Amino acid sequence: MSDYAIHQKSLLEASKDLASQAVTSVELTKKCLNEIERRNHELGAMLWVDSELALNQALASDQRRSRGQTLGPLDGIPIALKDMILCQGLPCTAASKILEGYRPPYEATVVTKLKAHGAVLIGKTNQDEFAMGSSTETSAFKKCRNPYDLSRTPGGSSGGSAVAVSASMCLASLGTDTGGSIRQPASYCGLVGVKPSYGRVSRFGTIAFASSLDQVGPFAKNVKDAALVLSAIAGHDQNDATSANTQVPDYLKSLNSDVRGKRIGIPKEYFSLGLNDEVRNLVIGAVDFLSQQGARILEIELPHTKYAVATYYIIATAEASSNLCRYDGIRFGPRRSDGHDLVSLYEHTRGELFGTEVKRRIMLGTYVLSAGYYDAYYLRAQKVRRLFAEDFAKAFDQVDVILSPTAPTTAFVLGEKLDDPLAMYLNDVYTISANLAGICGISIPVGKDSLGLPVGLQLMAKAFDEQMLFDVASAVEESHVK
Amino acid sequence: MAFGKADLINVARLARLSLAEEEMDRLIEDLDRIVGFVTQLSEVDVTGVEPMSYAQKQALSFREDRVFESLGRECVSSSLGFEDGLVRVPKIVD
Repeated sequence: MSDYAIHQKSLLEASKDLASQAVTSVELTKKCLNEIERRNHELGAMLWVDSELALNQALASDQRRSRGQTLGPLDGIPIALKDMILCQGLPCTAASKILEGYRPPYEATVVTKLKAHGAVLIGKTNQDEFAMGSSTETSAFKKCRNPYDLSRTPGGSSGGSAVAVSASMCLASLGTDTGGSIRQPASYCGLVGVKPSYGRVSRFGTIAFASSLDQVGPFAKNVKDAALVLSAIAGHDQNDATSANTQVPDYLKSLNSDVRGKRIGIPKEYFSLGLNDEVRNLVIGAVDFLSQQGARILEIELPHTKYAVATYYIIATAEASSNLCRYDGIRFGPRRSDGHDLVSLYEHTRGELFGTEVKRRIMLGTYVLSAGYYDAYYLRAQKVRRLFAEDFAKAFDQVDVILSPTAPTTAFVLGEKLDDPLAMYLNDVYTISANLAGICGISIPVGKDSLGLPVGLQLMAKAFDEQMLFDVASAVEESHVK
Repeated sequence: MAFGKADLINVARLARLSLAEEEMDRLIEDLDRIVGFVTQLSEVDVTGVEPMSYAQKQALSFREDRVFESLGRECVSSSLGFEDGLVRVPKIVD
């Protein structure tokens, strides 16, 4: 089956091919491994791959199928995992030198769930170190490139997960999204990416960056594939006290792209200065289409939007400075010491093995939590965060879904913002608010700019209303595909 | 200047980060700009607003209070290993 056209296949199409025995899971997995072999040296999407481990899972899937014991549509499908997600048998480093060589003794709940659905876990993807970045350039191990233009970033922090799907190294992947780290790379790589509501997906076994913001979610080639993967990984987990005990719908089965009567909010603050004209035009084109299909378009206000980036960078770095305390050279990974004492072992290990952006954020987070600054920065940011949540609550009294661009521009050139952390942070202006408010968001492709770079459209819905995202997204997708 | 060298040295000590001399100037410059940027929150009126630390309205869910099998020694991957059921760490006091 060496001629299997994996580049043209969605996850569900491959699943149908498995069911009809047009292809086996071993063949599909080999196809993905071949793509990794062929292109990973230039794309840098995958960090850790164990072909034997993947092929054994694929073989087990084929054997289940031959016995008539298949586990559903994900059985035998190759899926990649961001390197924040613990999976037994594979290293887990968060793309950091401080975890180099670490092999976890247990696995994330999302991995257990994917295995229970029969998925083939093909490897770990490249990312910004500890998910801190918007371009995957802070990875300690590899440069990651956008498949649409190798001189450009795939976005980040889950850039490798986006590139792996885009380049057919897998049929779906998981990322994490703390301020846009799934939606922005999905936008830059022409994919669907979902940031589920806070509490929708268990974070047990996922490396923590900012615990009140982090969520795990899928990347896929289309809305249906993303809906299928989210249904598989979502749900309550007794090992994660923040996971919600709320029923998970079968998003795919319930999918309904009829937008007649749906109220779609356009936040005027998201269409102001700094938004690229081509991005704006493509997004407005989708709005016009939804209007023609019978949706009601309403202008709304999210008045605190201009404070999103500042609020986020106080809260996220404060939480990160606390979460990253555990990397001390004792519990995990390598250590560095000048031989003096325990404190110098901590300081040298952390100082030498964390990268620049991680150190910058630990420093900022420590500063805003430190005596004399806590009230002025951290406490104030928590209060402004409530104002964000209230803005969204008011908006969702008027509308069912909020529509905006995912990012102000298309993929930027590698290195362009690396030396300017503030410029990099401002790139997340449209995605951050969903994390602060705990609501769900999705990015879907709506076309390409004049350079051929993908443009993403973001939809946000109230907490635990992912079905609304998938429904409206599938309507937008139909317009675009046609 | 919102963030100077004294701040850097103090914060690096609190965060247990050794910094090379050559990275200090750059960090001071970056953090000074970032701290200056986040200071814009001082213009927001937060009178009477309760801080929000957590984005879910539902209470946290607790698991059943019973003894169950958990990870043992293998949960720590200390490269120095184990001795008498304890994790070995580098020598702390002479």
